[in-house]
Amino acid sequence: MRRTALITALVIPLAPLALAAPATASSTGEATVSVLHAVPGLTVDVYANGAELIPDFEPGTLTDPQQLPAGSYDLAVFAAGADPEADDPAIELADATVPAGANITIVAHLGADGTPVLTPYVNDVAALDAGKARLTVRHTAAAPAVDVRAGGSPVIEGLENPGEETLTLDAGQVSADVVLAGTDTVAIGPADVPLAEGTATFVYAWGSAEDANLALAVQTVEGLHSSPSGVPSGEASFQPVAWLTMIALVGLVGAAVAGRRTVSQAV
Amino acid sequence: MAAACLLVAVVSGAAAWWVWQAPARSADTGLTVAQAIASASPSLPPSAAPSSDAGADESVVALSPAMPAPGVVDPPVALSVPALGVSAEVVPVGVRDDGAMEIPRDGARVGWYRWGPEPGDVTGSAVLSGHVSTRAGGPGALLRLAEAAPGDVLEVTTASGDLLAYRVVGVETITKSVLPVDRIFARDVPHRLTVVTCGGPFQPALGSYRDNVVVVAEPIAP
Repeated sequence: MRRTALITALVIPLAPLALAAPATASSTGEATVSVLHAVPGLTVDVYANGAELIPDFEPGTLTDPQQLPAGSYDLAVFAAGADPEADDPAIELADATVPAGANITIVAHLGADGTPVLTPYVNDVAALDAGKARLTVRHTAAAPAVDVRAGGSPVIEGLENPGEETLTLDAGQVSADVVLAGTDTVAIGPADVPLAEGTATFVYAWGSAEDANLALAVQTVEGLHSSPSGVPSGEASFQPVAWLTMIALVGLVGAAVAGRRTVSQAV
Repeated sequence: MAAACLLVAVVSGAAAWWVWQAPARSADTGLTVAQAIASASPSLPPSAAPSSDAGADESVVALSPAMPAPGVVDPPVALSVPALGVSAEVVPVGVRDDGAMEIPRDGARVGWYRWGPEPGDVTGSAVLSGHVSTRAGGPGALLRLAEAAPGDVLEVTTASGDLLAYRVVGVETITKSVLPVDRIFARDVPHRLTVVTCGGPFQPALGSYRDNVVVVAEPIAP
């Protein structure tokens, strides 16, 4: 149960998705879409509006973000190599809405009861204040409610599948773990999660508690930084007269001390 | 001996007076920041070209304690401007609660904005800033920064001992209220060093100077 899996950075080109026209052109413009496969043990082919998007998509992998026409998409996930005309899909999601201008991650994952589902999450990629980082935790595992702890103290409590919670934190590195809600029973981690300044980090708890394959997947969106508001680099006026007076006084005191020493030596 | 100390007092005072009174080289020489930025655009290698839209850069990240801390590889530890006799220790700084860049309290030190690029990076503006004066009324590390002129050499020493040389391409005095922070702290421009301090008249009511002095320098190819 206590386990942190390493996610292999296998990037699947999403080029075919550009060919899949939205089922209904509800709005103009484009959206940024990534797809995360978080169903353990199932290699799949992903279809959108009947066209194959991602062949042989393996668990624990995330596609590069792609620009897609906004609109609504019918998504279907089949076991790899299945015939989409004849076989039943493993997971289906009709009319997934992809709004113009949004940044979305579509996650294939297990529901709380272990049934595979597709959940589209909208990613908060708004600009951050200087020095800050954003952390979003998403519960996409077949597991009960959890708490997320940073440095041992709970920062997110009672998170349930498929819920998410977002925090804005000072940039840095946090040692995070996931525990069963209200307990100290560690489900995942601890793992050091770098929260780079000006970056949104999306952490997914995925897998199955029953099958003891809970793991974390991490997605980051960079470039959300802001500049400091100013450079307050003069806290007081340079006062040459006062400053020179002080230096001269130090010199005079030194002279006086040295003079006394001279006198005492003479005596 | 007493005479010697008096002499020291008088000479050091006179020297400091001379430093203060030394005819300032024109406050606004060379390119403006905007010009320096515009001219400093030799093309980036395509692979290093930053993406223009926020949120375009995502990746799967393996979770591992062995993952290096993001960003900082070789932070700067010292700045010198031989032409101006400036030499100061550099320390990493972040952001104050009010959102402004943090400046080292010790007026002898210069702060490096650790969330932005570091000296020696390929892209982005590495920003250093220090006090022109201290609360005690003495000179700050960057008292003479406004005297910098195009062509002057700035030297940055990094923690690993590397010496990075930059050549000043622009010096500008800008009213703080209109300081172009997004250009000073830009992360998607060809690499440069930007050194900032205060200047212009001191405003006692506000407890600060009216202006910022901004020096932009480009790396000198080794």
